[in-house]
Amino acid sequence: MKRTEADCIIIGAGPAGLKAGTILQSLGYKIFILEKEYQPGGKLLLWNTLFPHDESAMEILNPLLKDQKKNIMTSVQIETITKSPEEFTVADQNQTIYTSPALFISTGFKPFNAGRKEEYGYGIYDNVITSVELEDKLKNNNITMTNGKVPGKVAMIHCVGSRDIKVGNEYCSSVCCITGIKQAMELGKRIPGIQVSCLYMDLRLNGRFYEDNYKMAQMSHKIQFIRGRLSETNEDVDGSLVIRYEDTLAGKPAKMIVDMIVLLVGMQLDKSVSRICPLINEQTGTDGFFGTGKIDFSSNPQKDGLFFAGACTGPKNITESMNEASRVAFEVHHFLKNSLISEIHDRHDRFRLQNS
Amino acid sequence: MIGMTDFGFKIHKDQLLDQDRPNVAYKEMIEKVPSLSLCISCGSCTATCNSSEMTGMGFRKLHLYLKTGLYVNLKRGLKYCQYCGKCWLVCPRGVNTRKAIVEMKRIFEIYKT
Amino acid sequence: MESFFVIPFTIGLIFLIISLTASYIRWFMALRIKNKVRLKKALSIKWLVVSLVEVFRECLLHIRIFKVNKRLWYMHMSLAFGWFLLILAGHIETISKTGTFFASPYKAIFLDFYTRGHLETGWSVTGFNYIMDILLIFVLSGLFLAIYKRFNAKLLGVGKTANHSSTDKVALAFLWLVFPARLIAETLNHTFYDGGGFFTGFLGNLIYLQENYNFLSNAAWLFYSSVLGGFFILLPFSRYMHIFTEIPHIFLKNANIEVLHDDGITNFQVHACSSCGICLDTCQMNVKTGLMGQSLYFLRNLRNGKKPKENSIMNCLMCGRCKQVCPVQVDTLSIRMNERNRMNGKMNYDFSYLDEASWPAFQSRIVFFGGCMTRLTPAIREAMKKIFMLTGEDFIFIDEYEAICCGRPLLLSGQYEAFREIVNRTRRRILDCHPALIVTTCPICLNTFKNDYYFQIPVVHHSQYLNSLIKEGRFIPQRNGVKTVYHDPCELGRDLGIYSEPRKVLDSLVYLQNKDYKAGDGLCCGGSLADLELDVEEKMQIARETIEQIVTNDTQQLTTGCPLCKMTFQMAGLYPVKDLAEIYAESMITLPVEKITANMKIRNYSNMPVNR
Ligand SMILES: Cc1cc2nc3c(=O)[nH]c(=O)nc-3n(C[C@H](O)[C@H](O)[C@H](O)COP(=O)(O)OP(=O)(O)OC[C@H]3O[C@@H](n4cnc5c(N)ncnc54)[C@H](O)[C@@H]3O)c2cc1C
Ligand code: SF4
Ligand code: SF4
Ligand code: SF4
Ligand code: SF4
Ligand code: SF4
Repeated sequence: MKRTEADCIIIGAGPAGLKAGTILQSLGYKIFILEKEYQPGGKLLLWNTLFPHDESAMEILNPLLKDQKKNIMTSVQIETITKSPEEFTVADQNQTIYTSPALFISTGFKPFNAGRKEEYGYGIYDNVITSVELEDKLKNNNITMTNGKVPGKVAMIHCVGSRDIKVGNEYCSSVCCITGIKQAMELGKRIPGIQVSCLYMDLRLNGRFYEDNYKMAQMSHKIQFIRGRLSETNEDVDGSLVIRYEDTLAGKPAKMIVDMIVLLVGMQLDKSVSRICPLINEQTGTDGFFGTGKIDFSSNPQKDGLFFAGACTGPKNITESMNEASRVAFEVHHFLKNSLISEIHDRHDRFRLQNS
Repeated sequence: MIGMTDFGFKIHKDQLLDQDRPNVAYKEMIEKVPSLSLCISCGSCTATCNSSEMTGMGFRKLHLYLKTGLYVNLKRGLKYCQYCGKCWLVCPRGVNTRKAIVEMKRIFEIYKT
Repeated sequence: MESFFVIPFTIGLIFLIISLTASYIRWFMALRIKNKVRLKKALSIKWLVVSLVEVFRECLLHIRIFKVNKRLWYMHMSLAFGWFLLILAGHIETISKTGTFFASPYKAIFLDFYTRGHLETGWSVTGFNYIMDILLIFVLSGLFLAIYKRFNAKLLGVGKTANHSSTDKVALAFLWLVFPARLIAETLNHTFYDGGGFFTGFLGNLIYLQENYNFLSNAAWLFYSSVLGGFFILLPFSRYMHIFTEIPHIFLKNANIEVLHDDGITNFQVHACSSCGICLDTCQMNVKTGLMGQSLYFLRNLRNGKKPKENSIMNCLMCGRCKQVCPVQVDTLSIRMNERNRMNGKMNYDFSYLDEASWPAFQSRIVFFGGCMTRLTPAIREAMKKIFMLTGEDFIFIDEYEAICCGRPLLLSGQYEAFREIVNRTRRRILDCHPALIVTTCPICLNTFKNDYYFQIPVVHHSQYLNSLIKEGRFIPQRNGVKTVYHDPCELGRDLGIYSEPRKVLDSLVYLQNKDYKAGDGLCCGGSLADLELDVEEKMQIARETIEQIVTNDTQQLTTGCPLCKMTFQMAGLYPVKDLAEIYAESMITLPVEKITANMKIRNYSNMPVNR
């Protein structure tokens, strides 16, 4: 059994965790970043380029990893998390024990399991894929259908597993609209003549430069935006997909034959830590993400040394995730400083007591 | 007040959706089926509707007709419903569509005589 | 002169008899001709004997309650059977004492009053006194339990005890007073006039009062008579109407009379309900009780002549669990359907557009009917197509591209005329293909096809079809070890009695954890089309509760045979859910090609289960 002490343990080495790590380290704290995958980086490892500026995900990731390699423990399966009045104790599958007064949770999100929307045909028809899988295809530059051909017509379906009471996720995942546009444009760039249609309920493009992306998609890539929501999918004998929706602006039921369907899956909390630790589980809000989401930061659970940041406190893009991580990193700093001061006071009191 | 409706913009009477006229039926419906107010007109219901293939009708439109006071269309559309319940199953907002349909039928007295 | 006190009792009794007779005649006249004919046909010695035995077993001994809940049974039985025996023994005693067979009823009831001072002795007198006292204690013990149940339902093993209406409460108070009143009357009688058995006589002797207080005894008799009379007058207006109505109800029930569309029989059944509350415990509507839609409350509102509110009529899954457990065997579902029909039966419809649809009408041996719900579950659809293709069947998937409805949702909502219209069209559409067999993956459609379509050809659920493949020795699937729990859809299990086939199929596919079942016990997934009031969260709550009750600790997947159950469970999202067709198709494609081609053939379907 190995025992290691630190000032702060960060769980999850996605952009949020890494950002917080960088800051805390630069402030002189001893930290550990525990990551369950064999490589740090979180979703940055999966994405090809990033909206809104088409930056490469790797270029964002590399500076975050710089100088931190020694702090990051990968392939860590956390088995228990306990708290005593002074510190958190985290134990992994090798019985290595990490202790620290502050625990920083940045476990990010899990993409919605698209198989639960059976009527969309994911897992049933070969050419129905999720945005996560498309990102992988883009990364490998291998955008083919199961028969090896390049798709000529693609439908991007918005709000899969978000804003849907029937799967229990009533929130908007906030990044999938712009992800759809990013991916549609990428398809347009790579496959000349491809027809991409986005089927949306509402377009929520509320970030900086998102509207520019939207306009670019319309202008340079002739992406079609259709206001309607997919209701049923069927497969034709030749393997092409028939989808049914209503063009709500035309007010007519419509069908479309496409080669490929991309489901823009939403975000769900990665429950791997809340499942093992009731203390953390208690912090789950009504929408299934951590924290209260209130502006008043003091209402968040950080006073006990427990901190949350990134996509685990609600759907966010990378910029927002890292911004929150930075802010919370300074909260950690504050907390550690205060507890240091109170510790000195304690010692002082004890000293006086002994000598009186 | 009568004169007021003529005030301002000119829209031809046939084309006008007069939103100043009180819509009693809508108010009553919202009371009976509160979830109706959650509809975001996504069209999932119409897309899956058994009758929409042939009639173009569907729950989204029924709701819209009710809300905008196009009762003649509404009455016609109500008759096509097969009550299969697929609109309920696909609705992302959990609108109680089938209850709304019977209640509308009742309010507009669509009965066989 | 002293026996004036019997007047309240007599008035009550006369009122009761007149009122009951009038009601029964009125309801009987309201029976539909069809049912009258059925009744006439049923008249036979056997029917009479069977019904009489059932009356004895159920109205007095309450055997069915015994099977559900022993303590509750003792309460019901001691009150009903005890009271009956009291009357019977009282009568025999009267006969033996007065020597006439036709003594007026009050003589028997108030016998101790009339035998004041007749200080006869002998074994028969002591014996009767003894028996009467035992019976009184017997009844009082039941009464004690009944009172206790009001305050602590748990003791009697009931989760919820019914909230009764105010008339019922007053009647209840009278009923509760009857036996204590009798106890007081007899005790005081024996205080002043000796006699009595080991209990009342003993109590009477304990009390010492001066002779001039003997008016108290008369007052007690008057009180007893008034309580009885009051109870009799209240009876026709309260749930105690069931005491007598259960008797004609049993006779009618045994004549196979249909409750649907018949107000006469509905009245008999509504009044036969004792508001015992057994159905409340099985009803899954606990998530929404505010509307009073559960059968007990629904029937009570009908009985009180208060029309049940529209939303209480509609707030029911029509799962049939209440009907299954009802000790009186009230056909709760049909009664509710009658109300729904009354409400919505005449609603207008226009399905003429269906005539313009271009239906595929190829002649095919098998018509596969997916139904509306299967359109939203492509996995089931694809699995069935694969299975038919690999078995080499000549089949048509009749609603693959255009939806048609079996009509059941309309039926369940009470829109009866519209329902008939859809049935006509869908029936024609299916028959245009001249099939030899109809297969459906939807129990809802199957239920309608079997009950309302009058097909001459067999209609089967896909589990039955798959089971027949396995039985014939073709396409014996490979078994994997996935720990699976099967959920019985209400319409397939309780309504159609199809329990074993899906289990047989699954047992050869996976590690089935619930091979054993009790017919009629299945839970509802909560998604039922029959309910109009539940919102999503409430439905999900039912679904989650159901899942939690059927799974075990190590369950890996859920299966079912109904697309609607599947979707509902998928929404609840606790476990992966599959239809049995999907599992079968998955196992089928692992079979070697030679094996498949060798077994491809078009069969004749003479061995398929026939329609009822
Ligand atoms: C399809 C898609 C495309 C996107 N594209 C973009 C884009 O182009 N631009 C943009 O700004 N945003 C994009 N986003 C959003 C972006 O992915 C998120 O904002 C970002 O990943 C959030 O970072 P995070 O660090 O909070 O979480 P994550 O990136 O999810 O990282 C969490 C990390 O924690 C680890 N972890 C989880 N549980 C445990 C545990 N119990 N123990 C140890 N480690 C654990 C995980 O393995 C993971 O490495 C996209 C999202 C989607 C769905
Ligand atoms: S961001 Fe767009 S696609 Fe995603 S949930 Fe919100 S509205 Fe739907
Ligand atoms: S599916 Fe629901 S939210 Fe969408 S249009 Fe229909 S009723 Fe409205
Ligand atoms: S219930 Fe009526 S409106 Fe809804 S999908 Fe079915 S036919 Fe259409
Ligand atoms: S319906 Fe049957 S089970 Fe329910 S209260 Fe009445 S008698 Fe009891
Ligand atoms: S049919 Fe089912 S839901 Fe309806 S009252 Fe009976 S038990 Fe309850």
